Amino acid sequence: MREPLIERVLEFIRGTTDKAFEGLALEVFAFQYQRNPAYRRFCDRRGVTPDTIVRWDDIPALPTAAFKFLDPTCAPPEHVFLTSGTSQGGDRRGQHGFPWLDVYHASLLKSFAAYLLPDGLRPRMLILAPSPDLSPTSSLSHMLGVVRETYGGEGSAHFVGETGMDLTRLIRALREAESRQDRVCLLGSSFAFVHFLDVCLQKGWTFQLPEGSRLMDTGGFKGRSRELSRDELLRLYEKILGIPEVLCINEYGMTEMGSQFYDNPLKNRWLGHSGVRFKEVPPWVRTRILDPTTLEEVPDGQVGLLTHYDLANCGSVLAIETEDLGYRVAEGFEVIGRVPGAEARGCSLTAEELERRQ
Amino acid sequence: MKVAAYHLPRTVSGYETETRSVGAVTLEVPRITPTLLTEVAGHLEGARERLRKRKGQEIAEILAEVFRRWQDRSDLFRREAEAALPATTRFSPAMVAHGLDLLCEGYTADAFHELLQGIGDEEALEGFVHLGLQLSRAHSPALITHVLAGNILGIGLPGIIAATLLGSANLIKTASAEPLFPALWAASVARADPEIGECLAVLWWSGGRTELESVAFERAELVIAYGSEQTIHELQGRVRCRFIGHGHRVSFGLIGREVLSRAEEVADRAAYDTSLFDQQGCLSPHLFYVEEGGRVGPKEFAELMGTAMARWARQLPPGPLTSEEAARVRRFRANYEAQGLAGKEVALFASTQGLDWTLIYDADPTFIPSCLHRTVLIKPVADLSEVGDLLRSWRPYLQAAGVAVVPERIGTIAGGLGQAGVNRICPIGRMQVPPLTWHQEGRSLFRDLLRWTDLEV
Repeated sequence: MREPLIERVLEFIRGTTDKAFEGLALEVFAFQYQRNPAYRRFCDRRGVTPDTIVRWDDIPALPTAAFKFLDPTCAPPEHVFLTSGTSQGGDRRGQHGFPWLDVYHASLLKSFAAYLLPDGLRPRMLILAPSPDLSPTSSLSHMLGVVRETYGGEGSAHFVGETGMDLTRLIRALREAESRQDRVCLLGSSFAFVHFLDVCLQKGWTFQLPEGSRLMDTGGFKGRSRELSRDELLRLYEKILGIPEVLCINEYGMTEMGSQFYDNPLKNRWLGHSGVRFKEVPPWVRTRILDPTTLEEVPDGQVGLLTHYDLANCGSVLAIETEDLGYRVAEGFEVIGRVPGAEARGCSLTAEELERRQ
Repeated sequence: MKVAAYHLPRTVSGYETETRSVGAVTLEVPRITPTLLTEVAGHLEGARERLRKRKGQEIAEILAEVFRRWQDRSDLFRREAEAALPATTRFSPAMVAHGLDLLCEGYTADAFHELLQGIGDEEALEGFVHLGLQLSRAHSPALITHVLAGNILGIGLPGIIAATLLGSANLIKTASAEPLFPALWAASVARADPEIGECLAVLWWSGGRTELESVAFERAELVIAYGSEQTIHELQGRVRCRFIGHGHRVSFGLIGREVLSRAEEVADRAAYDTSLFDQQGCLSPHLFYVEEGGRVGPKEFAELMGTAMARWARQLPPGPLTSEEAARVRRFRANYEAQGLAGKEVALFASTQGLDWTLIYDADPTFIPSCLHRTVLIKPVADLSEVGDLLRSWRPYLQAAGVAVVPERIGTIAGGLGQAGVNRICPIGRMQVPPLTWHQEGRSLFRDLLRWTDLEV
């Protein structure tokens, strides 16, 4: 039997309660403060306890770097995911255990449906990522697996296996979709898409996928493909796959968080809304953009560190300070990306410069 | 304010200028074309024929006078530099003023004299002299192209000064991060002695403009370049004449147990070395090894040094950080704070508000470079003799070691550090003020510049 608080979080995510975010967030914080000794020490260092704060934005945000050294969970995990282990802190990978996967699933399914499937479509899903069986510690593989299981239409499949991308099968699936006029949803990491697009460019392949087909990409290129700007990528999706910009949705998520953020244009089009493209924040999450020098909120439009308060992280730490820079747009935000390595302004060697060399 | 961020021989004319804004400062620079650069090179080579007839000692007196005038804060060039350099370098005004003072301190007639001594026989520049088993004559390059990099005040200046003393002309390509000081300095030299001024050209263009660089490299007899390893490697591939590359380097410090009897003083000097130029220089320490068994332990020393870092942050305030730089410092802090919370022997001492300074005590003695911007690691060692082994994989990048030990130990420790690849060992508190005769990267300034012809009869 788990805490009633977790049931209330679940109800909140599912939208079946009208309890306010702030009260729930503070309760979750109190629970995590009590259950998680490492996080408690982190809060104590900042002089913050559940008794000293009354606002959700006063909850101390744990940097994502901490996931590399601390166990952030509040209860024995049902499943542990690992980060991909890039730069800083050597090759040490962060870990995030989820004691209650149903809370994670409720969050990811609700967002995915809202931003990719607002029309209720159950499309054939073509997934350019390894399956959860093949990559059990990858949160992205897990998420896409759950999405496929729940919303995927007939013929949904993964196209990345142990030896890489199965291009022949993927091309066949895409040609089938064209000839049967069967709408598909392509899903995967950005670098997998770039890899696929580059092959198409080289071979001169193009597709005209049926209207209403859509695409979700996520993550940076991590040195695993050439780097493309967002605009360039959107142009190629249209040119090679025939999927217009409005149906190409970028997802922003991380192993350290139970919730994800999606571009809003597909949802807006379905609802008949107009407006700029940005990442929307689900009702059970709050996002602040903080000046990395002062950790004060930046004025609108200015670049800062994205810091999220995510109720879906009720089993670990709700408040997360990321290493991603972004800026506010309307009620959401846009991501610039992970803080890059750099050379010194002067003539000193930096760790990043050395890493790049190796 | 508008400042001319270039210097050309007076005989060069007929060029257009354009402006580039950095914060509140507008920099005026010539619109450079291969034709203009060819013309400049020709003028420099011509002017140098007159300069080489003059004695090094005489040129030294004039340059020393130039630096004496730079020490005067009411001097026109000095005032212009103090007003504009905070914008270009992103150092605080106090840091710029202090940096200029430090620079001038080292460039005295005595220092130039010592440097000239390094040639050995100055007559070898005028004709063949007996040297070793043959007659030898030294040639100074007609034209040297300097490719500067980074925001550290006066980077490249020792090479430019040595070349000038030898009667070479200098074509100086400044860095985007600091295009101004070399131009002001060259103009101040021209004010003091127009003939020397005719042998200096200071220009800025964005690096990688190969049509310009091929002119600058082809006309030169020697190219001296600063920059990242990648930049150096790339430039070297395009240079056919002699090439000296100064890549990025790391420095660090060693503190012996005996001197911890006056830990506060040592901590203050270590904090000064770290804070100077916001730790951006190749002589800026990334970490200090502190020996166990002194009056205060390494961890206590870290705490003392934190207090000193705070003091220096008030006296020489840090420059502003970009969001990326600030985020990197945050990440560095977060990594260590998390290790501490996870039970590792790590402690974080840092400015509470903002990111003025960060001090990390880490019991793991592995050599780790810092993210800079006044972020420094304190690592304990049972004995300083262990440090040599810890430096092994850093050998190609080692620059200076600041050392605070009792005099009896300096010989042994210096011997070990030299073996490990360190090219400069100096007292803590003096890390950023190398003497002019320093064997930077283990080389000799004059010997690198000269080319020799031997005659056997």
